[in-house]
Amino acid sequence: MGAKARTMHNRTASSSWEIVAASGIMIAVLAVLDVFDAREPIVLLSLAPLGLLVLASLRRVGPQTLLLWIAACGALAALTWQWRYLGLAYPAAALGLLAIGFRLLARRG
Amino acid sequence: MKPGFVLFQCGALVAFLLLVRFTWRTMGPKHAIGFLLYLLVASVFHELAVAGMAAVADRPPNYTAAQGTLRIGSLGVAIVMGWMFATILSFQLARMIQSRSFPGSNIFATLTLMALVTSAISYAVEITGMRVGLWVWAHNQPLSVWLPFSYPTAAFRAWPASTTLMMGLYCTFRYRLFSSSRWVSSLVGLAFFFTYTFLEMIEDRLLPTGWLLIDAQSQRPIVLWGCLLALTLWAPKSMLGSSERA
Repeated sequence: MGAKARTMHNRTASSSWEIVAASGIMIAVLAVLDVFDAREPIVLLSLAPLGLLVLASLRRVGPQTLLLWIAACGALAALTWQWRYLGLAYPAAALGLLAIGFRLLARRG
Repeated sequence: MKPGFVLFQCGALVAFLLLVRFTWRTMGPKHAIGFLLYLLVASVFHELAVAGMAAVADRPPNYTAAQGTLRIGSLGVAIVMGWMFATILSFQLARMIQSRSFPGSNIFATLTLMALVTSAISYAVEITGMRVGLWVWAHNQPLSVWLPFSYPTAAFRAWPASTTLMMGLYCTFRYRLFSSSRWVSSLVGLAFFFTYTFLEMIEDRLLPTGWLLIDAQSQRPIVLWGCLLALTLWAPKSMLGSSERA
């Protein structure tokens, strides 16, 4: 990526309060509807994959964060005996695999 | 109108206006107007195509907007706006993730991350939307076996594919992904876009059992993601949309 494009990318990432605000509004509205309209607070867990990706847009997520996320979903699945909760970790797995792919390519030069 | 509908539509409108403001501020008025108009046309085309495909396949549409939501003819305004919203938000979130965790990667990486973000938006919105009754899915939809809360697999396939195709087509024009000529690049993008859409219309009849040992509806998105991932990792410099030449 060239210097000009890199600068554009960084500018976009550092001054994107509207994107963060729009994500926040969407998550808040969905949370209110889950709790007060659908009356199923457990469904708040459906916001978890998006929550991780919004977090990843705000700060770099390293292997520890991704593993912690997968472990948390795994623990939830084990505690509730609902193995589908492990599926909520799919963005962490995808980001991890993408990072491994880039690292392997960089190592091969 | 139910209070849940009002809250959802008001929240969506405010969030959408924030995205329009961001687009205007970062792209400039000329490109922002072009981009938003393009998204509007692409979203309307998408909704018409969904209805058209259902008619060709002689089956009801996968989903219909709930009664009481704003419509122009057969088009659900909230759904069209929703596609624009999801496309802008997921592309920009993808760019932010890319700049934090995958610096130096190409525009295909942005599109790959965008598909991931769209799937997460889809999951959150669909799970709530179905429960609150914002739209109604057709009966007998297969549900995801690996995600909780009865999420239709059609949503998991369609949302990321739709936003990625819409944004991918825009990128072929804006960043000249496949040729230094903007028009040649756009033609390649258009050919890919319409081939994908056409295959969706006919594959149920031509390939009912699937040719990748998976169900017929999942194979096309999987090929799309495979191509995108390959380009993310191995695209030559001349195909980088974020290069200075673009």
